Amino acid sequence: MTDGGVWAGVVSVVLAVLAVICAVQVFRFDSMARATYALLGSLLCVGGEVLLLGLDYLGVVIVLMMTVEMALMGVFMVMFMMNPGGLMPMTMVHNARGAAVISGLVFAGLTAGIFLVPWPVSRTRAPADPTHDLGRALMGPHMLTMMTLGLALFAAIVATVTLATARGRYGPSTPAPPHGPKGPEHPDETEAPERPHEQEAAPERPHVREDSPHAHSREDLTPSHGRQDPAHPRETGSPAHPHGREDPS
Amino acid sequence: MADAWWSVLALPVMLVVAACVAAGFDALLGASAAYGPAGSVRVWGTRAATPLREARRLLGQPARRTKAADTALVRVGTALLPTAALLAGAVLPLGFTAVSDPGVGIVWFNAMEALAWAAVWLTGWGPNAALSMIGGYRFLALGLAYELPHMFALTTAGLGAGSLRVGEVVAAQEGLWFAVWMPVAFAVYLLSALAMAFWGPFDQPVGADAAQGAAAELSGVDRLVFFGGRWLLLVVAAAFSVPLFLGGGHGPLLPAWAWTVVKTAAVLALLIGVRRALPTLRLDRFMGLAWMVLLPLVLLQALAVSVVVVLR
Repeated sequence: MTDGGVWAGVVSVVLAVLAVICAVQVFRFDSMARATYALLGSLLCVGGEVLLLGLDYLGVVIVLMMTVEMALMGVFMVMFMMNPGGLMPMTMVHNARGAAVISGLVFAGLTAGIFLVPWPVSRTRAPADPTHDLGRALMGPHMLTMMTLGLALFAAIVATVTLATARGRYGPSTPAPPHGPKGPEHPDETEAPERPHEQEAAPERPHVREDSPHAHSREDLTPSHGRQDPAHPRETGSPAHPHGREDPS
Repeated sequence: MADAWWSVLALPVMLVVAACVAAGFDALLGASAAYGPAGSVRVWGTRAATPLREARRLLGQPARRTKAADTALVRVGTALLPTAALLAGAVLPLGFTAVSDPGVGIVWFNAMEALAWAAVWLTGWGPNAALSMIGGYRFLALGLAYELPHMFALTTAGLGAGSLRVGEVVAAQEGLWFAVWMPVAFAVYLLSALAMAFWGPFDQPVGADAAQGAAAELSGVDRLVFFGGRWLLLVVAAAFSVPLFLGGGHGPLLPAWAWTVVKTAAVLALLIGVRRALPTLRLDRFMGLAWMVLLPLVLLQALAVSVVVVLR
């Protein structure tokens, strides 16, 4: 038993040192790809530490979640941060002196906390199957929270995917049928005088009523798109695609 | 199923042998399609040994470098692929023993197989080349499509057994295979097995339209390790369907290990055959299919299984 404890201690220290080294490298690498995966390395070591604590499920889930999360995070880091490929000199650290002071203070505070806080001694024995107990806790007293949370997260995922895919928000990517001489039939023409808010709306988009009634009806659905794109003024008359995004032709 | 120390050494050997046999089978199918059936045993043997000759050629091939490549990331990525496959294989019950049978074996398999996300993206990113990078990104898109239905398929099997321990999942199928009363979960698992090894209709990450995508700039040993790792991943994914859905080592007459081998070989042959039967699927199409068809289906399957588990 003590032998196993010694080995667990050795592995724990090795993992901790590796985690810290990887974490430091996150700020020393000059490439987003390297920084992302150094962070993943650090988090995998943390997952290993949780495994060592006997919390198998949590440890493995950390490995699973962090791998997938960092793989996707890498995409966003490359998209939004400077110097994605590491071809130009850059640094992950900004306001280096202030950051060093703040992180040093936080580190000192946390370390002091470890030694100063009187740690409670558990009066219960460790459960035989922590996974089972975790499931009981989450699905028993916290059932309502978990269900709400799960539903909200799932709805957010589906909504995000729907917005992101080309066939979600902007409809089918096939060319829309040309808008020909059907103009007079459009409700915009007939209803325009009866609309009370027409006076406020008119100064913002004067070209719509004059030249392209079809664009007007689409703007009612997505009002922000009609005015944002100076590269495709409505006056030039391509009213079939007011969004200017999905036209393959 | 006692853990045996030698299984740690035996597992990689067995998986590599299985991968070589599977690659040889695939080469035979390919050669038969291209040149007609083999006329003699000698031709047959030559064709089956094609992957081994290719491996030997790659071992001797000098490495090709791209300009400003991040070689370290390429090395990490390519080495991670076979590593992930071997680690995932650690929870495979081989019919007589497993390297390990932890209480969360199914989650472990899922976590290790997810390392392929990182592996393929890193391999694609590292060489600093456009087609290679496109291949890497394609795998992330593929992962986003297959991973959730895959997770729910795994969950359904665990649900039916009331345990995440692979050994108990096998034990729960002594009477009736899970594949019989969870057909949707089994089908989704087989699809995701193809996807996680970017094989068959899901080979766009290394697709011919992008000059082999993520693998476009790999040469020599890197290339061998990458594609060898992909074969290992395919073998492990096929082998894991046996304890999950096909009753593991349960079966009449033959011993458990023999049934495991037979079933694994059958699934593997199916996966290899599917590549020749189905065309490559565009990933945006598969994304729609996965989220709008597979995910609801597998959720309904999980619901049905939960009701059965609660009622019995």
